[in-house]
Amino acid sequence: MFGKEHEKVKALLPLYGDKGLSPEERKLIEKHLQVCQECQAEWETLRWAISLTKEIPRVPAPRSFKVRTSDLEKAQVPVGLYVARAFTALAAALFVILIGLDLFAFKAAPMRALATPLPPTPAIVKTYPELEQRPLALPVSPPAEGEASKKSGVPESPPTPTPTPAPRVEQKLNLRWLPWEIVAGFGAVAGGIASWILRRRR
Amino acid sequence: MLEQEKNLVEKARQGDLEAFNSLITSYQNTAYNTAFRILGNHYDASDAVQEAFIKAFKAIRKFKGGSFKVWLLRIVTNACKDALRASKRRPTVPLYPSASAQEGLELGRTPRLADEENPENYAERQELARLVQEAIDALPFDQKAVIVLADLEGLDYFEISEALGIPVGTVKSRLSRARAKVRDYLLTHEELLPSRYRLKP
Repeated sequence: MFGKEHEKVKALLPLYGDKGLSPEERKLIEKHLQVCQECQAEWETLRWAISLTKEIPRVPAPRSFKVRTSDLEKAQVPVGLYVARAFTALAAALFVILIGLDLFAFKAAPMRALATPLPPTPAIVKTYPELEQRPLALPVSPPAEGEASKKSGVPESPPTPTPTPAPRVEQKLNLRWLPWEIVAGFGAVAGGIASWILRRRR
Repeated sequence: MLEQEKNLVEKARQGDLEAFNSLITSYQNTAYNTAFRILGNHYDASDAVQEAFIKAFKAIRKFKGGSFKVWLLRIVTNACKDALRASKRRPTVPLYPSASAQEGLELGRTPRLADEENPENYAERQELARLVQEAIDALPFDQKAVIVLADLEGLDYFEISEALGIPVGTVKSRLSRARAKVRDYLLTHEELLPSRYRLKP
């Protein structure tokens, strides 16, 4: 019936009895309450609940909470805790960095393989024999074919060189920093346990 | 701020513990009530208030004027928040649950005013307090803090905004939701209320 106005008033109703509402908000609620029975009933229950909440008795402090000099000493954080926390952070950071370096080296292996020069092609080797480094892996023609050409008397044509397949790069995770990774990992765990114990002892 | 309070604050800022203790004497009931209503039991409330007062002494140099009560309540509500977090992290099971809970409630009871109140009224008010406390306990911390400061400690929106470090608009929306939830709780448990407190007695 009232749409947005009704929703807005409903949200403001719990604050209707407070001084903090703006004059516009108060006016809007008053105007709406005159015509909306649902909000009138809502306000009745809210007023009842708020008055009960405000009526509950105050509880006196059971003792004095004065601060003693000993409280201040006790509350101080021990230096050992700072040291243990710093050590833990340092060891954990070292561990992450070393693991990261190893993983980076592992991921970078195919890129290094691409960067190595390809072996010279047969045509280049023919022109510049000194470039030949190793025997080319030319495809071996099947013997049946050679036999057939001999029998037919057709001169054997030189075998056409086929492109050499790219050398396969064997990837192996090489943990170069493993001993240091173990030391850093154990250090981080030990530091964490020490921090926890020191915190519990406070 | 009163002149005497100003002097005590100034002395406390220079490290005078006695001056600080004199300063908090007039606010320890307010601080304890706030903590007790937010945390719902005597033991946690006492610890939170003590912790808050120690922190307040250490941080009093950061107090830049304004209402000392509101500044102190800010530290108390933060201590309550920490206590609630810690209790969630390390839930403790008392050795004798029923006895411990009962003791906690007993310590949190209002002393009977013999001249003004008869035993029946006293018992009814305790019953009302218990039910309202249950309704507050069911609220999330943000709403608890706002409703306790507004309806039990009588702070206005601006003071609550300063004490909790939130905008006035947020205070209004949290208070509105908190009051509606407390109303819903009381309505659903109305039969447990003494007849004089019911909506339709």
